Amino acid sequence: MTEQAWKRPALERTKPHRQLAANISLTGSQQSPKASHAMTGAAKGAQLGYEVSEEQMEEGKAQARFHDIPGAASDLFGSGFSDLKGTVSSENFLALSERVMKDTLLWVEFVARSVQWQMPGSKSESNETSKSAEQTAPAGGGGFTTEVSSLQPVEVTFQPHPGAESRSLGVHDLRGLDAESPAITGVEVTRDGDQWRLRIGIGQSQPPGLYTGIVFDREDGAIRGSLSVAVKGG
Amino acid sequence: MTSEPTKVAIIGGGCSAMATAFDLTRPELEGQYQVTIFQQGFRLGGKGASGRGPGDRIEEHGLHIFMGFYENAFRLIRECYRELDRPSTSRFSDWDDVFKPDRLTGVKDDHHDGTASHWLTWFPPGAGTPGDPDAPPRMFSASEYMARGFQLLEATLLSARRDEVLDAKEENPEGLSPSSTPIEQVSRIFRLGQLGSIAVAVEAVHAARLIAESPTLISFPVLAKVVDMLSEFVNRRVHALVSRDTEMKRLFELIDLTLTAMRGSLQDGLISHPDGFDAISDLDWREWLKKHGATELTLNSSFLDTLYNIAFSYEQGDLRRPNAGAGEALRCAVRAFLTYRGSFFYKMQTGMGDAVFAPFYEVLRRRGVRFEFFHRLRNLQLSTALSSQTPSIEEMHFDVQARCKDGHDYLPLVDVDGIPCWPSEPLWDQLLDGRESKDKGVDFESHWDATTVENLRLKVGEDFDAVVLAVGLGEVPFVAGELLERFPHWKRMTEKVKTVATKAFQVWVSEDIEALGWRDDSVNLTGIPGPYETWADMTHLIAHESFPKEPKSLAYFCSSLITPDELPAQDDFEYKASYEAAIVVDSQRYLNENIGTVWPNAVDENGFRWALLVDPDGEEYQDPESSLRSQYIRVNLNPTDRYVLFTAGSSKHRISPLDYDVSNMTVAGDWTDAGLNVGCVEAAMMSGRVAAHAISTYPALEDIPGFDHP
Repeated sequence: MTEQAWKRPALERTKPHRQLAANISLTGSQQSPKASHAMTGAAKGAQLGYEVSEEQMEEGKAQARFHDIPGAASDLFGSGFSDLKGTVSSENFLALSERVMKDTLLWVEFVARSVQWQMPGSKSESNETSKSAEQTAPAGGGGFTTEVSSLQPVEVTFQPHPGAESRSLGVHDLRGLDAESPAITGVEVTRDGDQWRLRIGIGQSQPPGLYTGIVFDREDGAIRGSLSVAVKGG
Repeated sequence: MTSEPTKVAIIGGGCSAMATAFDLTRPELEGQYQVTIFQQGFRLGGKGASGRGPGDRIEEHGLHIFMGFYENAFRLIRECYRELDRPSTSRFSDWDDVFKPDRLTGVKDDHHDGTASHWLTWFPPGAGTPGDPDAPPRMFSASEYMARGFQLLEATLLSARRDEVLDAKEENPEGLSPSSTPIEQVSRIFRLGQLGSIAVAVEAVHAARLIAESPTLISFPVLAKVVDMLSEFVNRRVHALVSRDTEMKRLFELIDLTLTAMRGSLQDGLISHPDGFDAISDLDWREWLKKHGATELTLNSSFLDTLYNIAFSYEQGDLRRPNAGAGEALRCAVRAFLTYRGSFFYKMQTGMGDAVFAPFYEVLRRRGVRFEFFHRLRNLQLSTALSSQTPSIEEMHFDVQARCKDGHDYLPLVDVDGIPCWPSEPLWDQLLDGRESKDKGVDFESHWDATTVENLRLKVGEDFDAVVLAVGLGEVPFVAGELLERFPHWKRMTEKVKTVATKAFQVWVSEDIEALGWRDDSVNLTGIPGPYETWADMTHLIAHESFPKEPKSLAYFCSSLITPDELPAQDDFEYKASYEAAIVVDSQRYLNENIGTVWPNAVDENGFRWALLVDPDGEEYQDPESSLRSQYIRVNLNPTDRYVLFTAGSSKHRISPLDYDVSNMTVAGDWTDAGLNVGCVEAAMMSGRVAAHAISTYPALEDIPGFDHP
């Protein structure tokens, strides 16, 4: 009877697959219909982000106008805006909202760019890190050169939008995530024939952190790319 | 080969046993398996058993709330109800009559000034419903997780303010916010203003979500960098606000917790680690979060406490000894928060026994499954094979606790208003000498009651071919001594995988929760002052009971219970009685001293207003003890009733249903290594399905949602 006893069948495996990356696509190839319908790529994400920000800014302005009563804005914004000194007027409220929205734009751009880095054919970033003394570091692609002058180690990322090289470009001051950090100002954008040159100077006292600015079109004000500098400190 | 079916003996009648039996007897297997379920006592259910007591009141083992990620549990239950095919006029004709969405949950939130409030969260609905047959693998994809994580974080940011949550709920009961577009949602935040200065964080989260949803190649190092920077930003910008603002504190804790978990997963390479989240299972959940930079505020937050409370994750039931394996906690949190479909929680509209085990009993019986109630396993006898050979189970020894009159099968269900239900006591009239047993106070479910009318030996090849050991973990040393002796890893498993005793308390009250002073909707709340940390409003069940004087509210409370790991001898009859006496005192103290934190109007200067309690037989009491004893108080001390913990470092000692230690046996239960490895219905059902696979290779492991998961 023992010879004929029932035995469990042999199994193909006895453990779960725990390594997600080995089994399931990380590329979003099985996206939900909603996601694939709504999004066509990182650029679309950034565009949506801009739309959100613009709507927000407009809404904020409208709300400020609506609440143009002394003290009303502080109630409206509660402790979230408690760093605002003095009487809250519609003017400084507007300035503050614009600041917040501008930060938002930079964030959206940064996140979108982070993904674009990974997209095939998108290789135009410049990335330099040095702990040496003052340096000039040309780098770039698609007709752009970035020169960095810094006593601190930095990592520079420049991401022009397609076609930006044919426009008249400028760069906003590079603002830190911490609003109290001084912006990196005076980024020069010059053109020499087909070649664009971006010059960035980082002072020794610049606090470590990420600083990001928009590359814009001097003619129509449109966003043509972004520039960010990660100051890593000594 | 033979055309005779394989005789499968399933020992135990809890969730895992139901799942194994259900899968092995599917019509597509064409009767290859003839299943018999051996159950101690008079009812199925294990830790999910319930019964109908006086006034048809529902008496539960504890508080059971299903979660929206219970894909296996809901899949089987839905199939069961379909096969049950109750008439459409029945109150519980289909699964969604029985399981109703329950989205409001909360924790008690302590503030720095010593005050406390309750933080209630309204989870947005997830697409579909749990157990939908199309559960796709993409649910467990990294990109889907990232997208869902950011989506939920965004929704939580939107729900930061309790008032706004309630407003949104009134406007749109199905969702968090009436606004459907990102523009509208963010604009709404802006109008509210509270989040004005962290709008950047909101936007960054939003943008990150959009990115995560986009069909582009996501680089995890890059995403890790984004998450890092978000965390840095949140820490710097928001931390200053939290000491002044409760809502900001809550937001901060949630954001910090979420981002820390994301950062930790990326930094530890869990996405690509061959062991997945098991790679961090030797660490305690809180310890792992601390390692990855969670702030002290977050580590001490009520939200984090909740994750321990709901799984009774305290060694020996002692709240001062929290312990939850990080890998299991992370996996469970990821599954719970990021893969739920429909509602985050589902509440049953009747007792769990009636909602789950009565339908399974009826369907399985129709399929030809035999049920042997009143069978207590005493020993699994191994073959005397050489040490180099895989042994088999040669015999099973049972104590038969009772026999039915005239050799009939025991029919365990009673009709309550047209619904088959489990009674809280055996149906004594069906039993030989049933009345005498009742008068003697026989307790067939007690570990410390040795009532036996017959010793039964079942032999392999004659009475059974295969065995599924599906008893509670606490029972294993008492029934599988030969296995523990033969296999060191079995012994180690019983030593390392801990269980904890629990207690439950149900009170029927003559005033509704609003009159009692609770200011919000029906809720599940945890973190309230003990000895019962969790309260769930179960008032909806009153309509299914039949008290002479109908109560206005019904509350379930539960908690872990401090007991040593070692159980006393089976002839220590005082053990259970002493805890039962102590719990009555505890419960009285609880109502007198602590219930006021949630029901301020239930107490006066003398303590709890005892006249509020409604007796199921219509009696009226004024003295505390009589009032209290008219309610339902339960201590779960039996080995098989003890809740299974997932303490740090214990998961690797679990035994899998797929392990091949015994040639004709497998195991099932939420104590096994079967994918989820936490104490819950879903883990038990998964384990039952994996055990069915071990016996029959059906279902395929790939078809058990969540089995293959980091």
